[in-house]
Amino acid sequence: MFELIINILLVVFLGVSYFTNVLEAPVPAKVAKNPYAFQPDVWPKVIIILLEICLIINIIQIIKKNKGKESFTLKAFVATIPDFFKSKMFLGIVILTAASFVLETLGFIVTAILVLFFYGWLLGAKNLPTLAIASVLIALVLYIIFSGMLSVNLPRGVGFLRDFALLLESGVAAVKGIFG
Amino acid sequence: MGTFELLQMGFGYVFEPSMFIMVVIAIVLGTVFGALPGVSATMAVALGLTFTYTMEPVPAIVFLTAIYCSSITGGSITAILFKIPGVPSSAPTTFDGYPMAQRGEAGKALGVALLASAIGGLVSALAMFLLSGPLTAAALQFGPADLFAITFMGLSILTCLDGDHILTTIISGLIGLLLACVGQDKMYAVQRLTYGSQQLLAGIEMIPVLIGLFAVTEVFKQTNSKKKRMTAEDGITGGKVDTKMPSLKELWQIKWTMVRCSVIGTLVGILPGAGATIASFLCYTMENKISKYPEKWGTGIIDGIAASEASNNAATGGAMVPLLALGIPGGNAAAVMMSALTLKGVQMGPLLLTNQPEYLSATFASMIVTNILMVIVAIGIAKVFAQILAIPYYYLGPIIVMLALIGSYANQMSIADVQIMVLAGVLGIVVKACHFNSAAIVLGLVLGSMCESNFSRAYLMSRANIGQMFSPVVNPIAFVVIIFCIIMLVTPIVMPLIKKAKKAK
Amino acid sequence: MKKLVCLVLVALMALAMATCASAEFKFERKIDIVCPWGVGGGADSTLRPMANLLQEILGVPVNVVNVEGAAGVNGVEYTYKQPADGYTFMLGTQSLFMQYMSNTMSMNYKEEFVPVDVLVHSINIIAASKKSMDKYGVSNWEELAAYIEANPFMVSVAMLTATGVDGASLGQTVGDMMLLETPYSGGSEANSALVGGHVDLAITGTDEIAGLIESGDVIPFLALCENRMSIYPDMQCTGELGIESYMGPWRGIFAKKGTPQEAIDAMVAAIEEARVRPEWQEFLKNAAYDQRPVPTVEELPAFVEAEWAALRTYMTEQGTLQKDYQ
Repeated sequence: MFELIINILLVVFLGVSYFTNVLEAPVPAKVAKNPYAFQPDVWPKVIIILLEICLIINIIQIIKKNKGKESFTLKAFVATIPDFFKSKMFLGIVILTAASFVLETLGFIVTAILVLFFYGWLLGAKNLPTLAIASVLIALVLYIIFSGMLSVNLPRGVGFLRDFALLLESGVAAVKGIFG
Repeated sequence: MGTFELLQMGFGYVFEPSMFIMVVIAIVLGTVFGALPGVSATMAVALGLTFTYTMEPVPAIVFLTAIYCSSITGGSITAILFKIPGVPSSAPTTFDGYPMAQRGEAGKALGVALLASAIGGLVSALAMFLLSGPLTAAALQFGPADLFAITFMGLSILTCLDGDHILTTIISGLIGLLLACVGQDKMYAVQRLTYGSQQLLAGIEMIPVLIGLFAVTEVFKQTNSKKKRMTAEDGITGGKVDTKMPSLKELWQIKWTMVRCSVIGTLVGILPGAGATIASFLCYTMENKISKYPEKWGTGIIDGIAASEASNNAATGGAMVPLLALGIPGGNAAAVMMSALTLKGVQMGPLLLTNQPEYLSATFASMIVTNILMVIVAIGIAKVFAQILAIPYYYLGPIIVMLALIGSYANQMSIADVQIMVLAGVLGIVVKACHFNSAAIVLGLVLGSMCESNFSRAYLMSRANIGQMFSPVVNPIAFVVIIFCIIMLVTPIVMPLIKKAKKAK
Repeated sequence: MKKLVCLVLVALMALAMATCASAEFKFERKIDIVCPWGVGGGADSTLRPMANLLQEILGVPVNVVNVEGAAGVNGVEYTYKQPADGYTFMLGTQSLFMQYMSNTMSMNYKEEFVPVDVLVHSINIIAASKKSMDKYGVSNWEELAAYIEANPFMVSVAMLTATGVDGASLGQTVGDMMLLETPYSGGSEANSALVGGHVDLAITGTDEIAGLIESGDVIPFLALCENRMSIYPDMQCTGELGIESYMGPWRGIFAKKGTPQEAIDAMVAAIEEARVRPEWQEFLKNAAYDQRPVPTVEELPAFVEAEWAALRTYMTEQGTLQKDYQ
């Protein structure tokens, strides 16, 4: 059922996009005027049409295959939804989504500590104090390797978090200076 | 100057003691940089620039070439162990490498990856040294129509990536192609399919999607499963990589895969606009297509690793060919080397090979030495990385997540890419449930813009005449390749019908 | 007399204080210069040697941060998010102006970024493939223009479009001649197409194709500048032909609005010091960037304003102006 719903949603979404979002800005006049130019909307439109055809065939196949099955009803599908929201996987998705939104404000170090701790806990770590210490250490090591030594500028965060990140980077730079 | 004197001169540079030490350092740095997600081969070479400021031009290119070759190899380590490709061109290595590591054959997988890399690198170094003139001339013949045909060939493999779900695989590939259209289009900078989102203007990059669909989805799945894998009993005991090399017999079976992929990788590396990433995807899919057991691909067979790694390392040599022969870099990393050399006052161009052949011979010597030494060095580094595998999954899982996050972010310093990665991770679960194919989505995304741009250029140049575009007279290469594609596309659909018809009789 | 002495003393003191005040600002930690384009590209290869010199002069690490994507917009957005504390600068070119006018940025670029100093101002040329020119039997710009006029959509020209500056400067040069304008996503792809004979012309900088010109595969055909270039004295230029087309790519340092003026001044001082270093002079010479002077700090505002206006005109003509800067 889930498969069917996703396929139908795709058909509708792509169908609407075909008419509304393929081109979102004017084509430069000289391109529009050039009789030999491959207009920028053709390629995506062809792909959408092919996709629609394939998806519709797919939908027919799904219905054919599952016809009459007990689990293939909307009701049975709705009944499985609460299980998903209770699952650990859902919590994992929540943790990562949250991390991707706070990353810029909290900076890499704090985000990493939180993710390492909570995800570790979710995966069944027993000894929480050790996990907490390990999270802090791993976050710092990752930051020093990537930001300090490899010039990958990870987000520093704002306010005092930024100052701390900068302090750490200066420290690494100083150590690097000593070794040449 | 004769070939022998040239060789003598080239190896003379590399075996000069202080230079040799620098080459070893370069190999270590390159492998580590390559293995770390977020540091691409280009970035690795750029990081290496710091060391070359005081060097003479020839040692500088020797050093940078060593970093370049070894970083492409290093990428396979994280691809196999964590399902996160360290460099984008190792993406297809995850398809078979990771399942092998899961089975406890990490050592074998790494061994094949390193050996295939070395062979790919050596073949392309030889090609570069002996044939750079003719190869460049041949590559220049490839016009937009031909390049389109070649990328299209990569796509036509879709029909057999998963024989049981041909339709959903095609849908996945088309979704990938459509994702590649998002943002400002590559030809005329017109915004498409962004739905008003500022972030999507930049387009959808392959790296975050790939990391999301592969590494993050994997962690999500592990979150739910009762048994936490990748612990001590899985053959990676006590944090030591089982370095049991693949047996000679096994290697012998994949000899043609390695040779074919080395040659094709070199050629793709020379082509303008295509690099190691496209080479490895093309070779993986092509080998899958012609394999005697295509159904085993993706389940963890050494053929898949060899195809991907031989071709991406071969492409490194390929990328150096136009750089040295024409002064046109064959990829981003080669572009960094070119800017380093230009900075030192070296005039890059067609006359370099005649006037200063020492560049060619030194680069060649560096590639040969690097590709051989690399195998030993990389095994050592892989052992260190594999230590991480021995720690419990409640530490390892979150670390993989953080590496995935860094890898997505570092590509463009973009939070949007991190969000795309998480979204792709969730989509990965949906993809599984709907029998779509993650690899096909990534393939579509990788080849999409190259495919469209070259079609668009070819259309323009043939003055909107598609017949002329693939005419055997005007574009013979495109013609042959397209015919080949059509055969490939049609067989998996027609063959069952023919079989049916025969049975009916 | 006493008065005069006093006056002179006061003036001297004021001067001393003024120099002190400006010298007071000292960079204390790592400076980031954001490069909105990839490693190894033209922008990056200009910035890196400068960053090295700045590092020597300022005595603190000067780090090039490549933030690629979306034709430079990612880099702008990244810089915009950093605090304006004088430790983050950005490399910019006029292509970013076009991005702003295409409405792809979240902020008002013209308001939010202050031009600090221009590093290089290079000259675009129209280069031709030797084979093609022989085929068409043309040897100078006038003949080529006549050929294009007589054979619409026969002659192709390679360019980079994602940015659009090439398009603008080509537009100024050829007016409404019917060319097959073929965009490529990178300079090396475009140059391969030119050498391979897939396109007849390319609009490009001289640095990337110097070697190809030397070997004779590519002919420098027309320089888009006021006077002939000294390195290619045989190449015609738009100035002498009376074509109003002089736009060339320039690369300058920008700072986010609100960056302390002292930091900007200190950066300008350091750049000016780096400019006269032999390493930089050597770099300019090798890349043929020494063919055209860069605008001085005083000329900068007017120069930048003129670039905005020229690009705005082009985009209005093309119907692609989405957001006006005025």
